[in-house]
Amino acid sequence: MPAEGIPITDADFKEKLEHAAGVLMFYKKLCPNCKALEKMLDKFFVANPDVPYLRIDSEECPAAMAAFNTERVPTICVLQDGKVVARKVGLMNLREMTEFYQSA
Amino acid sequence: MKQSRDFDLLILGGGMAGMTAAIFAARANLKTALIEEHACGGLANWTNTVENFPSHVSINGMELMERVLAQVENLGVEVDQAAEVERLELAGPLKEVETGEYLYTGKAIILATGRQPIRLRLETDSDRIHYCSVCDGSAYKGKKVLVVGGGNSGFDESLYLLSLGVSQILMVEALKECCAAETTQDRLRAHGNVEIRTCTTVTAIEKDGQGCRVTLKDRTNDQSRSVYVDGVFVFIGQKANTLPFRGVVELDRYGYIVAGPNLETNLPGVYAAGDVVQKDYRYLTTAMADGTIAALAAEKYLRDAPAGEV
Repeated sequence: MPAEGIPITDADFKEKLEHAAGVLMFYKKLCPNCKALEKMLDKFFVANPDVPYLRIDSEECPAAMAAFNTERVPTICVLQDGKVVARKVGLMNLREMTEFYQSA
Repeated sequence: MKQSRDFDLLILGGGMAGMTAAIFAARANLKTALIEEHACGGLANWTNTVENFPSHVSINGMELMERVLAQVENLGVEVDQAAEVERLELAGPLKEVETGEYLYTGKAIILATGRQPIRLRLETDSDRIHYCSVCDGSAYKGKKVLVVGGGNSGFDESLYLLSLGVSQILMVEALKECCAAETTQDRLRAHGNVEIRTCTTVTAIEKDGQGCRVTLKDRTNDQSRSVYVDGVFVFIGQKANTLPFRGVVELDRYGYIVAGPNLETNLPGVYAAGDVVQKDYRYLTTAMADGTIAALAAEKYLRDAPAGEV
């Protein structure tokens, strides 16, 4: 099953992410690497159903992109209490993602 | 112990060839699994506009492939994406594909692993070298970029970069002429902020402030010059994804699979399809033809095999 995630927008990112924890993905709809990463995340969230999944469409949310100092997609951030504690740009496989999340 | 999943036919690779094979196999009532390392769609996912696919004057590559995937899934094919292959067994009567999660077995297999972009072979400290304009192009709005490669991808991606607001493009091509389709070349050349240099290669890239300093060599006189650009996008062709098959499946000197007229390989029950096959022309349409033939040949192989042998 595809992991849907919680969409975050320019209008609500300050409020929704202020104390957020989980995995935040910056993506573009027609980005091939984002698509591949999403397929991997589908599996990651099946294995980690309690981890919140937050998503920001980079083309629709320039303010959020700027606030997180992010220019490239896909970018994955691990959030703890609203702070970015780990960040990775580009592709990861499931094993790498699991290690990345656990070491954050 | 990984869970075993047993099928009539395994298809490795979810590009156009693999998905077409899946459609034909499913319609022949073969229990079929399609295993894809990343996301289905293959290189077409990286193509901004496809204009040589019958029935569509112009369509985004990813959109086209999503439609094909929907058709595959609708036929009941088991599709496993983001599946990292850890082990392959192709020589025996039962083919095995072990991924990070499952052990797939099949009585026949189609190898449709396609190609991947060739990386620039330069030692560099710059992190401004990119292979995906959709992923990384937005960071260069109002900036100058170097595009390496004057083929269809180079021109198509340059047009996309301009649409994102890139202010200036310098394109270099190592050959005497660019080999992209004439219509695409005309479209890019019509932009005043695009400079194209043929017979030119990139010999060095160094980090320089927020951008990079690139050394370009003119192959006609061997003279070099240095230019500053904010980023570099590389589109210099593709290479076959056949590393896991080396020493098992017969490959040509360039790494492509040698296949017969029905796309059979040197191993019984192992077929190949799409860009990964040794051939002269690689397009979505030729990949579809390969997928069709490989699936029908695999179905005949399974049907003709004496009971108990496969």
